[in-house]
Amino acid sequence: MTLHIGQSLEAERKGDEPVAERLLQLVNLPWYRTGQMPVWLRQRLTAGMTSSLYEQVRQILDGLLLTNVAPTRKNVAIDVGIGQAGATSKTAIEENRLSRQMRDPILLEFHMLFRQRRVAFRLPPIVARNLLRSGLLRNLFGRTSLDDLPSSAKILHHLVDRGEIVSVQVQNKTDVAAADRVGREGGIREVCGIVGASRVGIAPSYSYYLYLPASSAPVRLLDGATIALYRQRRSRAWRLSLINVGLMLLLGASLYGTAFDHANPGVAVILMLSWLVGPPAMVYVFHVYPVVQRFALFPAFQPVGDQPRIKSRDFIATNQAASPSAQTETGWIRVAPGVLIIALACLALYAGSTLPGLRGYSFGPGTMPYVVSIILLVLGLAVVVEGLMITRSMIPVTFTPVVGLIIAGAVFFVTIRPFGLIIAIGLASMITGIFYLRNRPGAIVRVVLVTVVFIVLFFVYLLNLPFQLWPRF
Amino acid sequence: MEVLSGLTQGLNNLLQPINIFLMCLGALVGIWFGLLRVLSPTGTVAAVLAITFGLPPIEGIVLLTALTFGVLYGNVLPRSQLIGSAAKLPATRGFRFSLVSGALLPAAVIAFVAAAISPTVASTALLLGLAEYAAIMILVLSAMVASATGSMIRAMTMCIFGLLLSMVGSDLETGMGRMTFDEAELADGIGFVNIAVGVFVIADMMRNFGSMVAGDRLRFSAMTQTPPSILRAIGLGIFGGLTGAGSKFLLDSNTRDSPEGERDSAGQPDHPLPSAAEKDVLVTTSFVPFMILGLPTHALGALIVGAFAIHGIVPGPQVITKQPELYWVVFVSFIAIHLVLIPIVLIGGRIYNLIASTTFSTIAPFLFAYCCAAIYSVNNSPFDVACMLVFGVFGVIMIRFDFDRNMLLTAFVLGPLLEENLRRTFLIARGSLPDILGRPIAGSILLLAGVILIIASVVRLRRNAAVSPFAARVQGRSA
Repeated sequence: MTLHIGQSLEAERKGDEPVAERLLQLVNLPWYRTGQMPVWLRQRLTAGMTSSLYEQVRQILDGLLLTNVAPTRKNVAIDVGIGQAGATSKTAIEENRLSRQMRDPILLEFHMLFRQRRVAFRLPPIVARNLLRSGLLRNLFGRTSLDDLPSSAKILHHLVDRGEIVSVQVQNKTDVAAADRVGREGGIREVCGIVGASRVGIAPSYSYYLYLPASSAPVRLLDGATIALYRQRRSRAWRLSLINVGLMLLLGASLYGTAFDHANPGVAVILMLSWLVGPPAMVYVFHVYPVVQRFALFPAFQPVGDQPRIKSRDFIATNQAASPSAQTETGWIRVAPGVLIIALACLALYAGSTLPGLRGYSFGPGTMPYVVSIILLVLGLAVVVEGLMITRSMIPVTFTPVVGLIIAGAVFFVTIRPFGLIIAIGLASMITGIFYLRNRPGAIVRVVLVTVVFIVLFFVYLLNLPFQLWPRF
Repeated sequence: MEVLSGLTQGLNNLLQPINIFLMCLGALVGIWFGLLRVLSPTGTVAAVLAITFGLPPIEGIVLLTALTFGVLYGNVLPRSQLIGSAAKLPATRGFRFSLVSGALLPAAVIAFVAAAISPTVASTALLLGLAEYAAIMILVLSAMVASATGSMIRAMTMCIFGLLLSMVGSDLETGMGRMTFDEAELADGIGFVNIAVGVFVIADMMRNFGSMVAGDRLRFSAMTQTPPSILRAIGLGIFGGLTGAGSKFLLDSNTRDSPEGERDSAGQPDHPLPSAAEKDVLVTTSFVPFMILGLPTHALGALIVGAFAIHGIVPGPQVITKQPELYWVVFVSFIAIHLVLIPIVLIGGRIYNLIASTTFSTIAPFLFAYCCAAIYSVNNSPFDVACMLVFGVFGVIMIRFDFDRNMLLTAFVLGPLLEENLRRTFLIARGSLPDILGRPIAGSILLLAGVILIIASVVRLRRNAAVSPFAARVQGRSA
């Protein structure tokens, strides 16, 4: 902050104007008198930063916070967010440093990118509320909040590694309110007690949650900010889905009896279904799923004792590696490729079952397919056995682009005949662009335009291929 | 003299303005995609394959050859090789010397030697019987399975699955539909281009989602290799090109996310120049069995066999007599493309800086739309696009479970040839397996194929093949 003030002063200085008077005014500030700033001043200063400076400071703070959690040199540790007034000694400050920092709202807001975004012009409050601050469209395709989750995970890992959190207690399901909450939020349960290395249970000074996935994946300890982000995104996805259904009904009602009479019923049904299912699925895939996916970065816990984890109250840290890329294949996934091969071999055997086989010394049409299918079946069994006997590393593959390209390809498939090349290519490249260039709408528009122009010029005019360019009615 | 006159004829055919333009275009596009590290060389050639159908055979092959070598060099060049040193690079004698000695000279010499011996070998190949041909195909597939980087069982599975896919469609002798489920679209079989683009392009697009490439730094020390390492590279390339062994490793090792790639601790491809020389020599050499016998020894060769087939050309010993102009153009183009590549690499520094700064996310929409349009243009059929998507998803599954995609494509191309030769062999031998295995050449080749598979299995078991190279890297990193 001192550097920022100094930099601002230097930038505003005109010519030889002395800065002494300004500095005299500045020393009256609480920062120079008592070593800390009031909340309102910190809020004003953080809000006044430019985006580039904000990012720069946030990155420096991120590094400093980690050095504070595990300080290599004491003078490197940062004192942001530490209330000096109640501290009795330097040792007490050191001990409480982390927990106090975790409670400092300005630091957390600053660090978690909850800073209010400034716009160059003032919008009506209702528009601003719905579009910008906590609105429906803001950050719909953004990744900024997601990029902060690894930092939160690092802090929690350090807490676990240092023995500050050894095990945690959660609300039991017998508690009606907690059970109700669990029912609403799937496997997310609030932590009500923390046990450190000293084996003394304390109430958590900051909100922690346990995430219990439905699969056999490990339980993860999450912080309040991550859960807040998850809840915010999930509720936003619900609202968008409802709006989508409303729009669909409105449009259906307005077009009823006119356009539907002339439309191909099959295409109309596909369009209606894709409209109903597509946008909510995309919102979930882009908006909610990335948060859940990053839960894997947080420290893993397991229930104490033999109880099923949904009924368990106590969970202990397992120190399991957090990197998803270092995971190995477990469970059904080990035999999945073999089963797939066996299924394909069975399909081939069924498809070739009616073909005539060997006739004398001559191969019939069905001979080679039969032989090859049998070999494939045997190899499929071998792959299953290999999967059960050998533990293989997981090669990470993201699910999102598979869905995106399938949707884009399906749109091309449906639209190329009735609507022609230009619309089909435009839609396919736009959907691909939405998936690959998600938070850059300008870039999507440019890429779509360039793609359509290039492909039309190249295929239709240069290679002279017989494409239908425009819709045929 | 026959060779010299043939090469002169090839040169005459090659030096047409359209061919020179296509060579430059192919080299530029190849280097672009190579620098982007988005698609493997096989994927890049697959993406362009569909549009060569509209070109005459010679022009199409010239474009594919230029693209192949362009993407190979783009793939081994560090992305920011010219950043900050664009002006200095042409003056760097070590770089220029290494590029020329490591790539052009071996390729030129091998192309010339291959051209010189190929008429003799082709006339000898005409003496080979059906059983010998089938045995050689089995040997090639066995060598590829043995040299697969992942699990041998999975590589073999993909080989067999490729053969099975090649049998979908009408039977060549009886015309009866096989495994078509009475779908008219499948009567002609599954399109070769649909599989190639789906498995190599769409699957890589799905795989490389959202990840960016960190800028590489040029390591001049590594560019000036000692002669023994280049000789080793040439040796490996010739062996791989002739037998198919290690071709997957060589052709895919420097793609960005390829799990099999050997890289040093900084994630750089180890020894860029031997790597370039190996790949170059591998591709050049692989055209010898391909042009003479019609057998591709890796997926890239399989793609070019597919391109030949589309133009009605069956690669084999008869090409030299039936279509000499095409035969000699291929060999001359190997030398000519290097002469085109060197100035492009050395002069176009600033352009490549611009190109290399493109991210995959930016070109993904264009690439996908292009693939859809190209695949649709082959038969004007949306079914082909659906087929491409299905194989794209299948390709992702193959990547996820470490199956060898090259095996699938090569086996798919060799499938009809193998079936045809096996059919006739069994008919001639009256179904007697001992008679077939008792033929000295065929029996020896089959024995060699079996020995290769057994040795490879034993070596893998001893090396504890439980952990794939990718797993070893992951575990090494996490440790």
